[in-house]
Amino acid sequence: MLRLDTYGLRRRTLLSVAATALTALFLTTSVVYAEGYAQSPILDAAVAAGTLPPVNERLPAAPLVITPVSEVGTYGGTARVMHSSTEEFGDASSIVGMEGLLRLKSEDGTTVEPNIAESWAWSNDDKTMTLKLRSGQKWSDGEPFTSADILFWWEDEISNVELNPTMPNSFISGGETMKVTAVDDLTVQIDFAAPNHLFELWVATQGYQSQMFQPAHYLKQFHPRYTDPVKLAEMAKTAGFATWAELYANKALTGDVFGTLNFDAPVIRAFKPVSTSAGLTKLERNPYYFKVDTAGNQLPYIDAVDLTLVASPEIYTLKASSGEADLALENTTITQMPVYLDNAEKAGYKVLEYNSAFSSIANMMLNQTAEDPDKRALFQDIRFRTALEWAINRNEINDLVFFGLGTPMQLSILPIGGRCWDEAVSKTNTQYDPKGAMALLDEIGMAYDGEYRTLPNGKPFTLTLTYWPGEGGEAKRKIVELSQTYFRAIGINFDVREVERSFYFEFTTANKHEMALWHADSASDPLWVNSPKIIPIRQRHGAFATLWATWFETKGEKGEEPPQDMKDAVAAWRKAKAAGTPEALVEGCKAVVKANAVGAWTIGTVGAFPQPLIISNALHNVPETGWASWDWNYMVRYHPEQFYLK
Amino acid sequence: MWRFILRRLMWMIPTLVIISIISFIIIQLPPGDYLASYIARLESRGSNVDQATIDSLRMRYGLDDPLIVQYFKWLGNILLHGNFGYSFEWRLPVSQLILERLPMTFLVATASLLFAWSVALPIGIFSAVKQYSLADYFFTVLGFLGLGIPNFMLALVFLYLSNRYFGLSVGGLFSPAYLNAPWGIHKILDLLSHLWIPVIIIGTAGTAGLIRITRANVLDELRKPYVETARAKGLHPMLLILKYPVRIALNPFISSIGFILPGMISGEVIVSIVLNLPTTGPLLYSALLSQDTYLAGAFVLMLAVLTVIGVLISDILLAWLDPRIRLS
Repeated sequence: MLRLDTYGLRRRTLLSVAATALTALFLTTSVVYAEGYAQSPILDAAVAAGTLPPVNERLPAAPLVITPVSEVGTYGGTARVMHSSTEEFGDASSIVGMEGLLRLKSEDGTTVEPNIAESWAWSNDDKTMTLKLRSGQKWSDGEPFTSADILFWWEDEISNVELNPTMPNSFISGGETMKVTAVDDLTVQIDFAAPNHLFELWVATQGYQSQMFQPAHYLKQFHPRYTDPVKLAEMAKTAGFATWAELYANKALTGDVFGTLNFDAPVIRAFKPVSTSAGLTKLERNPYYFKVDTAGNQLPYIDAVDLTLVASPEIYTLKASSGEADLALENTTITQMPVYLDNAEKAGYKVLEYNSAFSSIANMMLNQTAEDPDKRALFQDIRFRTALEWAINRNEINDLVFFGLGTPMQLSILPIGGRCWDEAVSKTNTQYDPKGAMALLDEIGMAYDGEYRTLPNGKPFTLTLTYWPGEGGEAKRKIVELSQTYFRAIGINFDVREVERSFYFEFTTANKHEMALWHADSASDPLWVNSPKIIPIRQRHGAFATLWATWFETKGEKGEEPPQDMKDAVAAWRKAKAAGTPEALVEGCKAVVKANAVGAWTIGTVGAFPQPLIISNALHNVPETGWASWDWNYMVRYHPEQFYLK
Repeated sequence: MWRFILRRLMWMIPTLVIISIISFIIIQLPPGDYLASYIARLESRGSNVDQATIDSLRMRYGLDDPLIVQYFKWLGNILLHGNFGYSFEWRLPVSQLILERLPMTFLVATASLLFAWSVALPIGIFSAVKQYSLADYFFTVLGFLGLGIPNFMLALVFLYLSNRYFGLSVGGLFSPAYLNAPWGIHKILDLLSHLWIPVIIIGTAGTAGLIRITRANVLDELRKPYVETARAKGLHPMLLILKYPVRIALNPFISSIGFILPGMISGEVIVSIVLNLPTTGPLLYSALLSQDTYLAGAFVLMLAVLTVIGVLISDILLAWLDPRIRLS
């Protein structure tokens, strides 16, 4: 039974609106049905020869209709994109797409809407989620996509201890693992022990292939429940694996854009990998893709994708600015904008300004649970943290590093002007006031000899920053350099130590650091609710209060008890997560952002700066502006299946 | 001679064992393992990886075994099954990954080597014979420039210039059009048009040293009495130089062959990364960065074996070339 729409509309109003909409829809779709569907010309030969069924039979009974951004496109072309390692595939995903059962709306990026699933519904108590699949939906090899694929994933992969020794936390609610049942071929029911409305958000942002379904008909041959275990063990040995689990893992679909390096496995995405050699991976269209445009053309428009491995950022920049890629986003930086713009005309591309979702690219964190007792007392003094905040000239950083295109802010939750945004809160303590900072430090009792200050007890004082300069480009380094001058100007002897990523995590989780720095990712709505780094809920990301973060993560068993304001903020987050309604989420995000800003837990600098998107003049249906971030899987939010080449 | 070779071969075995242990330990030395970098990358994409998933992944990849167990499993697989293991990063068998890139690595390494030698030897001899002439100074300066300018910077400059003024596609050994095309005259021409950049850059780095060494050695010989005697006896000067001093000057070339073999496999890493060549260098680099244990381990082991074999070969060659060593 469908719940009332959360805005509280009465049922009658809802029904009348629905009736009008349905009539309109029927009128338009009846035109489409009458004309039938169209397919890409490269498939015509196969259909004529009989090796491929006609398009009407390949599509589900009710395919998902996508409205193109600008106009209905034309078929054809091979899109060229780059990636810098097998683990980085932002550009590739931006063309190939990632299909989950649900997805986030492209307009606001926060509302959940159907994707592979035709619809979903919650029970009144939010403990049961029912997903309805599309009748006639098929995998890329023509076999039907049914609830059996989801059930197989749940029972035979996630719940199988050899493949997956521990159940991931996302599937546990109210202390119990969720239950998945296939009501019929097209209906899947998920039962939780406690209300878990936010699970639909998880499905929309994380539930891509391999995370919620697998091709059961194909993988059964690699699973001991359906194949003779002895034969399976032999198969594994011949393929070079020690156990059947390794063979299975190699054959099954994975979450990234390659889907798998097993080219025999069927996929549900718009493109299927067909070959990879010497750094070039080729993908071809999936003839059974389940989406069409408003004119009845089966998507995608693009016929093939060429994915080139590029080993260094310099080559990436050179290739992008020579027009050798049709889309370049994941490794572009604002600091290289002059290079992109210089070559745009000659190489035949245009540069669009998309928004990066970092709310503060260099977020400095004083460790309030530092080991040294004198420093710990100092860092816990809010006047010291405030003084450091006031010492930074954020406008200067913005001008020097981001050409003035960013926004000085504290750690906030983007987008600016979105439902989690509070202008005043984001500007807390961002004013440039070195005199005020000096006054505060004098008040604390840090004696100033004209060059450096001492601790309140008279001992000499050096503040050491340990950070990993990756992922932020040169911006992080420049901001740290500038901060050195700012802090030295108020008498703080500031020392900087660059370390490697793994070491950074080991060092900070062992509570050995005085000050750390990280870029503010997961700072957008709605992704923040799954892993909010704005509050110290996990030791790994709570460098501003490591021992308190440990306390939260281990539920009080280890670490130290945090102060009340942190407990309140974490409680607000937990409440928002449990309720899962939009109002609860807004209340929660505003509470945590305010707590962080008012408490000066982290020192934010500049965020929300643009990230250049390079698209070739031949690529169309790309929105003029949007978000460039993994939070929405780069361009996946904007329906890459309706991009076309001309 | 045979006893010499046999003794050297016997010493190779303990050397290789020790090298394999050290390389395995060194690869494991940085904190964390492949999973740590994998998880960090997942997190940067907003995936919330909880401890449960990390533990299960660690168990699945066999990364929770103690170091000793991992080492013996790895060594056993190589020696008994010829199975070099599995690359976590690429999700392919290590042997396939390396073999795929070996031909191009070999080609680039050999071409650079031949280029370096064919440039260094004549110039070195010429410099020695016409010592302190203008040409001598010119080539010396050129050689030192090539040695002084960092390879990667030279590579970037060449790449940019060739793209701007010759319209060559950026990086790689082939244009995108020919990448998967069947072999033919056009593909070979395309390969040559891309090959000259890495060959010149890698070659020039080695040329400077070789020029100076050749020049010094030949100069040493030219002062010796037998050269004057030969001249007095009327021996043609070119024949004289080539038959005697140059033969001595070749000694350092031969003894450096030993280190060429491992160079063929690892390739020139930095230049390959900057130029985006499909060789094994970038593969090794990314394997070390992401702590892809088996891939990196296989590489280091292969390099060690080839170095040891290479040194043996160069010793044998040297003994054959220089009778003084053989008879001593």
